[in-house]
Amino acid sequence: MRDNQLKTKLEQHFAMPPEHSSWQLYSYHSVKNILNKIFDTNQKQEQIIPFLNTFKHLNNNNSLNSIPKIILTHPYFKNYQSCQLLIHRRGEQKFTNFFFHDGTIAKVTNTVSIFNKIMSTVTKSKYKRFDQGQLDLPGIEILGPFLAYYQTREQYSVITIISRNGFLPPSKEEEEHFYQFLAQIENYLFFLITSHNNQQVNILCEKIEQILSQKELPKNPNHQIYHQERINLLGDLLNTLKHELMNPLFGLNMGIHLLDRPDLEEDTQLFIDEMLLSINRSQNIIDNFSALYDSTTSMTEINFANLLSEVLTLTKSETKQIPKKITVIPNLIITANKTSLSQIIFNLLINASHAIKERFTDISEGLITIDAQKQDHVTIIKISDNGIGIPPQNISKIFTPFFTTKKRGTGLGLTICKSLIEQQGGQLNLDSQIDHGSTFTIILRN
Amino acid sequence: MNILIIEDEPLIRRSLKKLLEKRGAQVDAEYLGQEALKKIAQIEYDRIICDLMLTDITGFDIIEGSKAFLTPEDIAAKFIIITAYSSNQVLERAKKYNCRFLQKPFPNINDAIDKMLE
Repeated sequence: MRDNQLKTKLEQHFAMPPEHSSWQLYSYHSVKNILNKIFDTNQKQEQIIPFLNTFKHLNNNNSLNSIPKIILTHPYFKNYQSCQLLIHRRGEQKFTNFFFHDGTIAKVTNTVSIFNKIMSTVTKSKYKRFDQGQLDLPGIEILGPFLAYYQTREQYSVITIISRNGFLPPSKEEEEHFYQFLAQIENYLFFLITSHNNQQVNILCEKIEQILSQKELPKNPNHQIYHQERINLLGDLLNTLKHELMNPLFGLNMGIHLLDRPDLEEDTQLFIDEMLLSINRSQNIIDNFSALYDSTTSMTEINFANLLSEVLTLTKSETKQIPKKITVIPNLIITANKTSLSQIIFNLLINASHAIKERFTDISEGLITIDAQKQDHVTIIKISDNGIGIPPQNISKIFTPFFTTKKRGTGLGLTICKSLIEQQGGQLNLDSQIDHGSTFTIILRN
Repeated sequence: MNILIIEDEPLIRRSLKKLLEKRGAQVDAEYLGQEALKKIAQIEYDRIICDLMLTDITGFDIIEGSKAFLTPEDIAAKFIIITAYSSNQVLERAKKYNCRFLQKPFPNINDAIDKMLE
């Protein structure tokens, strides 16, 4: 349905003037935005369609009633039994409480003072986990520990509460999912709350379906293009840096040569020798790093021990104090793309270091093991750590784009590693045990 | 031997001058290409050691400018181009003038000085 037709149809049904704020939700891009905010671009269609169908079958008068039930249909919350939505409109003496539990939907009203008490507790709490001890009020219908989140927009305030109705408190991961999910559906939620007529919901759903069916999956995942651009830029920057640094270093080199005379004191001579060595090392570092960022995708023969040594220098500030065990034969030659391989090893080493730092306070108890060998037709490189490990439920997700359990970072590192390896016809495998460690295995064809 | 150095990095310019003087050469040093050209117009040099990336003009511009005062054979014999930028384009162009070419940084400074004084 084209935007104009949609507008006309809505005007006919609801006499909604074009200036009304709800209109902005109906442009193709706005709807698409809502869709993108609700779902990751990479989330499977199987997850999206049932979710959408649930929304589509809303009764005209019950759309808000159904929200708690719908939230519980989301895969994130399959362990949850109850959901409540407390909605208050500014200036009103009462608030509405939509409550879903055990297949029943209920709607009750309470006084605003209760709403405010709940809101106050929820917003002031550092941890968004609560139990009846903190909030024993008529408004809370659920049992056991629960998660609560407060959102507000213009005239409306909403508190969403969700609970397993069980004994165990929610996990940190469930908490994260809860907030992410509510943040994602915020636009949609407030749209529903503020909409005057529920037929709009059905039209919106139709529109979303339309977009879904037209939606083409990108052939080249954005993160790969982005990564390649960054590599190119980095290559250019390194080149410029190399030339800029080379001149002053060369000047230093020559200047020191001049100071070097046969009749110098032993002390002075030592200093001169050290200075020349430092300069030499600086020049080598610049040369090596420049070589690592060759922007072509060509495969070359690489001495793995040398590459590893260069990459270890790059990770020095992060991994310096962590003990390492390296079992790589000195003359092992691998055919690979130098930039990609150094990128991958770099990433895996940093991850290993983070995992170790999460597990141990004294990082000298940590250990990073790097092993490389050739077997028949393949080269196998293993990078292991004895860090905190990866929980089983995350192992399959860990290579998906934007998946991260860290506070900082893009969640793209391992995704890129995997695609770089697969580009060369190789494999990246993971073995991990919580509180034990992880091993990443790179298999490359010879 | 009368030598002109054209190089804008001060430490390189001064060190090179000193190293050559130690070997008995008479050395002038300039960092601006325009000034260097003026000198080339007035003084006869046995060697002109010229960096490509100068502040005002390039080393190739200087060679072109020298054509007013030097024959192609002179240019081939006297000019030594020193540079960090060793792309194919640069190499090709240097070949065009038939002059010598040294890559910065010099792997061995003494060898480089020898080459300059040959």
